[in-house]
Amino acid sequence: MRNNNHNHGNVIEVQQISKMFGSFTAVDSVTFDVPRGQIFGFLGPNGSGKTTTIRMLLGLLAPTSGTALVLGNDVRKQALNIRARLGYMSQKFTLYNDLTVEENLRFFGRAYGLHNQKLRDRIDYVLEMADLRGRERETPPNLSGGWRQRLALGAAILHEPDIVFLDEPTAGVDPLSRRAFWDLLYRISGQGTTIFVTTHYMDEAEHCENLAFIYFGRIIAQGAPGEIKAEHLPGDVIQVTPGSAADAMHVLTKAHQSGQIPGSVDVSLYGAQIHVLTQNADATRHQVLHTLEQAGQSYSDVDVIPPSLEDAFIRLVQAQN
Amino acid sequence: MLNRILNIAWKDLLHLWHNRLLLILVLFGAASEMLLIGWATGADVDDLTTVIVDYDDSTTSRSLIAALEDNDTFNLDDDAADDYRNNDDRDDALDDLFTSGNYVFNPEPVMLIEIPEGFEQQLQAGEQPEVLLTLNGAKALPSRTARRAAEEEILTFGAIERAKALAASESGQDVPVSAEQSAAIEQIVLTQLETTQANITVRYNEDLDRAHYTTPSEAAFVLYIMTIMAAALLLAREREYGTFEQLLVMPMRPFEIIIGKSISAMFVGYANFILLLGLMNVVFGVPVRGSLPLLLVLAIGYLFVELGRGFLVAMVTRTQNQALLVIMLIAFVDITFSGYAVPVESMPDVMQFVANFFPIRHWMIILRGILQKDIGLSVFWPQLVWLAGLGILINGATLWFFRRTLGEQR
Repeated sequence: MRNNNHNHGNVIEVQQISKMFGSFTAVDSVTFDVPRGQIFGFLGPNGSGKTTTIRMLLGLLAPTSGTALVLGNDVRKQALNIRARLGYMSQKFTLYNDLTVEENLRFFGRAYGLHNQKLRDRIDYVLEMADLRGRERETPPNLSGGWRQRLALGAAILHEPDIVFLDEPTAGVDPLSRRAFWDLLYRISGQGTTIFVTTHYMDEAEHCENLAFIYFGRIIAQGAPGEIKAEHLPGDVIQVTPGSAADAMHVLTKAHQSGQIPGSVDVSLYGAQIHVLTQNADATRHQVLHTLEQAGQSYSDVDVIPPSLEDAFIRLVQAQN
Repeated sequence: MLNRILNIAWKDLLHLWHNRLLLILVLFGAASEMLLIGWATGADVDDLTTVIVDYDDSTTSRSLIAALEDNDTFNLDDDAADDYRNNDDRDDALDDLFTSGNYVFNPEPVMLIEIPEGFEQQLQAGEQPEVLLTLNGAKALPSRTARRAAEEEILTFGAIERAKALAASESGQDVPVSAEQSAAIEQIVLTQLETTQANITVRYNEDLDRAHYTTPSEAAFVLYIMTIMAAALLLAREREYGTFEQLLVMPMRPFEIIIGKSISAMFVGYANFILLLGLMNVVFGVPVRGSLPLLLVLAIGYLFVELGRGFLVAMVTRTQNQALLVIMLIAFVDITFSGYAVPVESMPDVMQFVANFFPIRHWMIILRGILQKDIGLSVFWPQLVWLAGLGILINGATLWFFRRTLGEQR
């Protein structure tokens, strides 16, 4: 855990903002704060209102109701000097594909008021950071996905913004590049930049210091990953790898629903494995194996594991439905 | 502020620089179009394929044919004449005749001239023989030219022959009269015809060179289409690629974005305009009789009106493709009301009024006026008022759409 104590206060304060498109409520009375210097994750499935929220915070969309302060400034009147302190990397690659890496960075830098030596220094920094040295004259389509992503991030932080908004920055990027990308985010965050990142990758959400979990426009959980798990997933998870996940799932769900498994809270399919959430690990483990054996289901690898964020996510969504 | 505007303008020029095909189109497309139009319309209409069928086959009819042959307007096609004579069904023969061209080496005839049997006799008897002209209306302009030239030639010929016949009957001689006499009579008749001829002076385009009419129109049109296209595409591409949103979150005011984009679109249009103005003058000798500085200043004003239209198109469409299609649609209508293809003065009253709502209509008047007539603001101020009004209307609408897009993006 990094020390952010030298930076106090919230850079984003959102009070009950909603956004309606006609009769459709995209964001429903959302409230959260983002402390300075944090990596704040905005987690949720596609179409849950993540992008709409980001766009309201950037001043691209006016909220239908509620207030949102970014750097102490109402987003409804996003002043130029506030915008100059924000960075934005949108879901789509929004650098110019026909301009070279260097031309793109120069345009972005100048747009944010950088020039001369300062501009050159920052471009140098970004080229080094994104590992793009020697590719200044290439155009983005000639770069691999990971490189493009880092270039876009570089363009967003060129002007050393106080807050950088990243909208699903790693969608469609291979795991290795994703890891490299997150290393960069830590580096940027370490320099005091607040990072507001949306994602639907659970592993990425685990990297965040604070999370807001948005589902159908409403925040259904928020806090540090550990807090969310502790609050919404008390207990342990029995992870069992059956011969036939579908059949075993059927058997265990029936047993769970008829109360035959002591301590079990929930049974869910997790790839080829089954997760049984429990408040009594030993008793549940014993009964689960017994139930499977009785039903003639084979299994291997039975473990008691700490619950993951994904377990919490599934649990939360099931609770909603 | 200036830095931000120039940053946008520079970036858009870089797009142009990197997109070589577009660059070539922008730099040479307009110029080559105007050169081709200028050359194509610069020449006189002559060497029109004409078929003469002589049923009289007399000395007189042959000398009429010789006279027509001497006229540069006509190029006689004898093979076609033979084919026509050999076909007894006249309708069928006419169809054959006027569809016989293969367009490459042997263009289809624009006119058929038939000299009837008894042509010579009737002339000498002081009667009025009829020469039959059949025109190919599918080729309206050339056949009209051919008709005018043939009428003049035949009337002159008839007058001379009549005079000769008269002279012969008076002196009790046989026709034909002697060579000296005939030359003298011809001279007298021609002189007489000349005294009654209209004395024609052409102002503003002394040689009635059609290139002087077509090339300024083409330049005006090119200036318009290049500018509106550059404006629309430069903005539409940002919307299509999602980079527009990126511009909107940058610390820039909407009008700075628009002005920045205007500069690069204006550069494209204006560079073309200067190039075409120069080519027009050097290659086709189109003069600039009025004030060149005034023309150059007014061109900027006109461009702002068209830029607004280009941006408006980009604001109501989502992709470059859509923008391009809308521009084509607009261009078709604009050409009609510009007076380029059809003079506005010859349109029905309603259309003449509607034409006022098309900026290019006013620009054509201003451009032609300054180039050819040396007229100034005192004459075409109504055009300026119209342009100013349209400019305010169009740019106001553009700003409104821009604001709306800013307010409710999705």
